[in-house]
Amino acid sequence: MSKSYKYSVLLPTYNESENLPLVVSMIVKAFESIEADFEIIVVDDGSPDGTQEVCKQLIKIYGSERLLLKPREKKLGLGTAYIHGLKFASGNFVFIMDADLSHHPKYIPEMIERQKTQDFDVVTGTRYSPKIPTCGVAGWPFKRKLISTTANYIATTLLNPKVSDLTGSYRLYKKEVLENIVQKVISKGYVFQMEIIARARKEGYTISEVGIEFVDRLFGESCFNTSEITGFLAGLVKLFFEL
Amino acid sequence: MKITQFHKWLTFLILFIVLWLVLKTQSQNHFVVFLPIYAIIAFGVYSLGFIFWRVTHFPTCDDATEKLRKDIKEAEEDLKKRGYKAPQKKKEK
Repeated sequence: MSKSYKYSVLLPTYNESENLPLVVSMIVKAFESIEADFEIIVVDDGSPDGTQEVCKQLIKIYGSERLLLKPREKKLGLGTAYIHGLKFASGNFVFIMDADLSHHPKYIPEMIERQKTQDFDVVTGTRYSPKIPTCGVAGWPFKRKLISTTANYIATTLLNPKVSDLTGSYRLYKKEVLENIVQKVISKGYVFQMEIIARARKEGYTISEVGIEFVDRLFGESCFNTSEITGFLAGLVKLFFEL
Repeated sequence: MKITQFHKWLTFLILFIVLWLVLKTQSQNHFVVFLPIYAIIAFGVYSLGFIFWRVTHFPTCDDATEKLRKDIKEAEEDLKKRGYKAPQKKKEK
């Protein structure tokens, strides 16, 4: 008789009233397909577009055991959103992912399976590992590919985390692993996700990669401008001296 | 004391410089004398080549958008069945 595990999905949201019902429906479908015990914790940072009302409706539909809303008053950053969500997580494992459908819940069963093979501490989705043929991005212009490749190259050279997708944020952690790391993180923005995985590597946690297909937001596009580039490099340098 | 990436690089740099200085006493070869410059150039060429290769072989999955659209439709139907009602928006669809 195998041990029964519970998976907590942390979903930080901001203005996701359109995507939230879709992603919740897909997450539920993914877990039900493998009959695994789970809960979804939505950490909304005071979205003005009614995300929390939508979430309350979904709670009536799916039940308060499966879906929890733990909001905050305003945008307070991803790191604190994870810390906040973790307080309410009753699972042994924690998924972190984006609520905008760029992270497809269909990979949840595969990530769970992979974790079990060697009891990995972390399973991370990669969008562009050369060793994994099933991953990839959809609809990225040349400029974005160039920026992403260059950023990953610089980060890998400086921090050497031995992970192919450093800024990826579709991951499965053992709960105590994430709790341990997220307390120590000092970075913000893109570098935040990098720091988590770099620290995980440094602390000796075992990490495995699963190839994912990454489709950009169907509604809207985020860009990487000059101030973000300098912020990114500054953050990297800080980690270079920190880790 | 924790050993950071900075410490590792510093160690490597010191070792490299020491070896280079020792080599220089053994040989006046142009290549040896200017070894650090050549090392930097080689690293630069390697980096550009690596990035070029990765960008031109960037993994793409062109059908993923279509697949996602299908999954979204399926999710919308599932939500409708369960009684979900999307909040009223100002503009008509």
